[in-house]
Amino acid sequence: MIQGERQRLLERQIAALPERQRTALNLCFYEGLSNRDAADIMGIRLKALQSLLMRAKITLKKTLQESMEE
Amino acid sequence: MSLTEKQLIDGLQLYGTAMEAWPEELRARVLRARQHPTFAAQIREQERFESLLRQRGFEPAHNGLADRILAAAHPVHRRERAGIAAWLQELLGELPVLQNPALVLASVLMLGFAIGFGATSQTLPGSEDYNTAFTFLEEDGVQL
Repeated sequence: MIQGERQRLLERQIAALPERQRTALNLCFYEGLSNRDAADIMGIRLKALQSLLMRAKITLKKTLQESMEE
Repeated sequence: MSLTEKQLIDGLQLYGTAMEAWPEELRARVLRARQHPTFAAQIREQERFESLLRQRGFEPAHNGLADRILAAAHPVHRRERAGIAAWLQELLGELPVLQNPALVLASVLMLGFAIGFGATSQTLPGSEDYNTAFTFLEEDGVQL
Protein backbone atom coordinates (compact mmCIF):
# COMPACT_ATOMS: atom_id res chain seq x y z
CA MET A 1 0.00 0.00 0.00
CA ILE A 2 1.48 3.35 -0.98
CA GLN A 3 2.00 6.20 1.46
CA GLY A 4 -0.91 8.38 0.26
CA GLU A 5 -3.40 5.53 0.41
CA ARG A 6 -2.20 4.61 3.88
CA GLN A 7 -2.65 8.19 5.05
CA ARG A 8 -6.17 8.37 3.66
CA LEU A 9 -7.04 5.05 5.26
CA LEU A 10 -5.67 6.24 8.59
CA GLU A 11 -7.59 9.50 8.31
CA ARG A 12 -10.82 7.62 7.58
CA GLN A 13 -10.33 5.26 10.50
CA ILE A 14 -9.57 8.10 12.91
CA ALA A 15 -12.60 10.03 11.67
CA ALA A 16 -14.75 6.95 12.25
CA LEU A 17 -13.83 6.81 15.93
CA PRO A 18 -16.39 8.10 18.44
CA GLU A 19 -15.78 11.80 19.10
CA ARG A 20 -14.47 11.46 22.67
CA GLN A 21 -12.08 8.67 21.69
CA ARG A 22 -10.83 10.80 18.79
CA THR A 23 -10.32 13.78 21.06
CA ALA A 24 -8.43 11.66 23.60
CA LEU A 25 -6.20 10.31 20.84
CA ASN A 26 -5.54 13.76 19.42
CA LEU A 27 -4.66 15.23 22.79
CA CYS A 28 -2.47 12.41 24.04
CA PHE A 29 -0.84 11.06 20.90
CA TYR A 30 -0.77 13.92 18.41
CA GLU A 31 -0.53 16.85 20.83
CA GLY A 32 1.71 14.97 23.23
CA LEU A 33 -0.22 15.95 26.36
CA SER A 34 0.00 13.80 29.45
CA ASN A 35 -3.03 11.67 30.26
CA ARG A 36 -3.69 13.87 33.30
CA ASP A 37 -3.66 17.12 31.26
CA ALA A 38 -5.85 15.60 28.56
CA ALA A 39 -8.34 14.44 31.20
CA ASP A 40 -8.43 17.97 32.66
CA ILE A 41 -9.05 19.53 29.23
CA MET A 42 -11.83 17.09 28.47
CA GLY A 43 -13.30 17.52 31.94
CA ILE A 44 -13.26 13.80 32.73
CA ARG A 45 -11.53 11.58 35.25
CA LEU A 46 -8.11 10.13 34.49
CA LYS A 47 -9.48 6.59 34.41
CA ALA A 48 -12.15 7.61 31.89
CA LEU A 49 -9.53 9.27 29.68
CA GLN A 50 -7.34 6.18 29.83
CA SER A 51 -10.29 4.02 28.90
CA LEU A 52 -11.10 6.24 25.89
CA LEU A 53 -7.49 6.24 24.77
CA MET A 54 -7.14 2.48 25.05
CA ARG A 55 -10.35 1.84 23.17
CA ALA A 56 -9.31 4.27 20.43
CA LYS A 57 -5.93 2.60 19.95
CA ILE A 58 -7.29 -0.93 20.10
CA THR A 59 -10.00 -0.10 17.55
CA LEU A 60 -7.52 1.63 15.26
CA LYS A 61 -5.02 -1.19 15.48
CA LYS A 62 -7.69 -3.76 14.66
CA THR A 63 -9.32 -1.84 11.79
CA LEU A 64 -6.00 -0.81 10.26
CA GLN A 65 -4.74 -4.38 10.36
CA GLU A 66 -7.95 -5.64 8.76
CA SER A 67 -7.86 -2.97 6.04
CA MET A 68 -4.24 -3.67 5.19
CA GLU A 69 -4.81 -7.39 4.98
CA GLU A 70 -7.63 -6.91 2.43
CA MET B 1 8.26 -6.48 41.03
CA SER B 2 8.05 -7.09 37.28
CA LEU B 3 5.22 -6.20 34.93
CA THR B 4 2.81 -8.81 33.66
CA GLU B 5 2.21 -9.01 29.93
CA LYS B 6 -1.25 -7.48 30.34
CA GLN B 7 0.12 -4.59 32.39
CA LEU B 8 2.73 -3.95 29.73
CA ILE B 9 0.24 -4.05 26.86
CA ASP B 10 -2.17 -1.76 28.73
CA GLY B 11 0.70 0.57 29.57
CA LEU B 12 1.83 0.65 25.95
CA GLN B 13 -1.67 1.66 24.87
CA LEU B 14 -1.88 4.32 27.55
CA TYR B 15 1.59 5.84 27.50
CA GLY B 16 3.09 4.63 24.21
CA THR B 17 6.63 3.48 23.63
CA ALA B 18 8.32 6.73 24.66
CA MET B 19 9.64 6.10 28.16
CA GLU B 20 9.25 9.73 29.25
CA ALA B 21 5.46 9.43 28.93
CA TRP B 22 5.34 6.57 31.45
CA PRO B 23 4.92 7.30 35.17
CA GLU B 24 8.32 7.46 36.83
CA GLU B 25 7.62 4.55 39.15
CA LEU B 26 7.02 2.24 36.15
CA ARG B 27 9.91 3.26 33.90
CA ALA B 28 12.58 1.06 35.46
CA ARG B 29 10.27 -1.94 35.28
CA VAL B 30 9.48 -1.29 31.62
CA LEU B 31 13.17 -0.99 30.80
CA ARG B 32 13.76 -4.32 32.50
CA ALA B 33 10.80 -5.84 30.65
CA ARG B 34 12.34 -4.80 27.34
CA GLN B 35 15.00 -7.45 27.84
CA HIS B 36 12.37 -10.19 27.79
CA PRO B 37 11.79 -11.51 24.23
CA THR B 38 7.98 -11.60 24.54
CA PHE B 39 7.79 -8.07 25.88
CA ALA B 40 10.35 -6.86 23.36
CA ALA B 41 8.12 -8.19 20.59
CA GLN B 42 5.11 -6.37 22.09
CA ILE B 43 7.09 -3.14 22.22
CA ARG B 44 8.27 -3.55 18.61
CA GLU B 45 4.69 -4.14 17.49
CA GLN B 46 3.55 -1.03 19.35
CA GLU B 47 6.39 0.99 17.77
CA ARG B 48 5.21 -0.13 14.31
CA PHE B 49 1.65 0.91 15.17
CA GLU B 50 2.79 4.31 16.44
CA SER B 51 4.89 4.95 13.34
CA LEU B 52 1.79 4.13 11.30
CA LEU B 53 -0.26 6.63 13.33
CA ARG B 54 2.39 9.29 12.75
CA GLN B 55 1.84 9.01 9.00
CA ARG B 56 -1.41 10.85 9.44
CA GLY B 57 0.08 14.10 8.14
CA PHE B 58 -1.27 15.94 11.14
CA GLU B 59 -0.94 19.71 10.76
CA PRO B 60 -1.21 21.71 13.96
CA ALA B 61 -3.11 25.01 13.77
CA HIS B 62 -1.14 28.23 14.14
CA ASN B 63 -2.88 29.80 17.11
CA GLY B 64 -2.95 28.36 20.59
CA LEU B 65 -3.75 25.04 22.09
CA ALA B 66 -7.54 25.47 21.96
CA ASP B 67 -7.46 26.07 18.21
CA ARG B 68 -5.16 23.11 17.69
CA ILE B 69 -7.49 20.87 19.68
CA LEU B 70 -10.56 22.06 17.79
CA ALA B 71 -8.77 21.83 14.46
CA ALA B 72 -7.77 18.26 15.13
CA ALA B 73 -10.97 17.04 16.71
CA HIS B 74 -13.61 19.04 14.84
CA PRO B 75 -12.29 20.14 11.46
CA VAL B 76 -15.83 21.05 10.35
CA HIS B 77 -16.25 23.64 13.14
CA ARG B 78 -13.44 25.78 11.72
CA ARG B 79 -15.45 26.33 8.57
CA GLU B 80 -18.55 27.16 10.58
CA ARG B 81 -16.72 29.96 12.37
CA ALA B 82 -15.57 31.58 9.14
CA GLY B 83 -18.45 34.11 9.24
CA ILE B 84 -21.49 35.11 7.28
CA ALA B 85 -19.57 35.74 4.04
CA ALA B 86 -18.36 32.15 3.98
CA TRP B 87 -21.85 30.96 4.86
CA LEU B 88 -23.37 32.94 1.97
CA GLN B 89 -20.70 31.66 -0.37
CA GLU B 90 -21.46 28.11 0.72
CA LEU B 91 -25.21 28.71 0.27
CA LEU B 92 -24.69 30.09 -3.24
CA GLY B 93 -22.55 27.10 -4.03
CA GLU B 94 -25.28 24.75 -2.82
CA LEU B 95 -28.13 26.59 -4.62
CA PRO B 96 -26.89 27.89 -7.99
CA VAL B 97 -30.36 29.32 -8.73
CA LEU B 98 -29.61 32.07 -6.17
CA GLN B 99 -26.77 33.29 -8.38
CA ASN B 100 -29.31 34.79 -10.85
CA PRO B 101 -30.26 38.24 -9.39
CA ALA B 102 -33.25 38.72 -11.74
CA LEU B 103 -34.76 35.43 -10.63
CA VAL B 104 -34.21 36.25 -6.96
CA LEU B 105 -35.80 39.73 -7.42
CA ALA B 106 -38.79 38.28 -9.28
CA SER B 107 -39.27 35.68 -6.53
CA VAL B 108 -39.17 38.34 -3.81
CA LEU B 109 -41.71 40.51 -5.70
CA MET B 110 -44.06 37.58 -6.26
CA LEU B 111 -43.81 36.67 -2.59
CA GLY B 112 -44.55 40.30 -1.68
CA PHE B 113 -47.64 40.42 -3.92
CA ALA B 114 -48.87 37.10 -2.58
CA ILE B 115 -48.56 38.28 1.01
CA GLY B 116 -50.07 41.71 0.14
CA PHE B 117 -53.17 40.33 -1.59
CA GLY B 118 -53.61 37.47 0.80
CA ALA B 119 -53.73 39.54 3.98
CA THR B 120 -57.06 41.14 5.03
CA SER B 121 -56.92 44.88 5.58
CA GLN B 122 -57.12 46.17 9.16
CA THR B 123 -57.70 49.82 8.16
CA LEU B 124 -60.89 49.66 6.06
CA PRO B 125 -63.96 48.79 8.12
CA GLY B 126 -66.55 46.45 6.68
CA SER B 127 -70.32 47.27 6.34
CA GLU B 128 -71.10 45.77 9.77
CA ASP B 129 -68.63 48.16 11.39
CA TYR B 130 -70.37 51.13 9.68
CA ASN B 131 -73.78 49.99 10.96
CA THR B 132 -72.49 49.65 14.51
CA ALA B 133 -70.93 53.09 14.39
CA PHE B 134 -74.19 54.67 13.10
CA THR B 135 -76.19 52.96 15.85
CA PHE B 136 -74.00 54.50 18.55
CA LEU B 137 -74.11 57.94 16.95
CA GLU B 138 -77.91 57.84 16.69
CA GLU B 139 -78.22 56.82 20.35
CA ASP B 140 -76.08 59.83 21.30
CA GLY B 141 -78.43 62.05 19.37
CA VAL B 142 -76.03 62.97 16.67
CA GLN B 143 -77.75 63.73 13.38
CA LEU B 144 -75.97 62.59 10.30
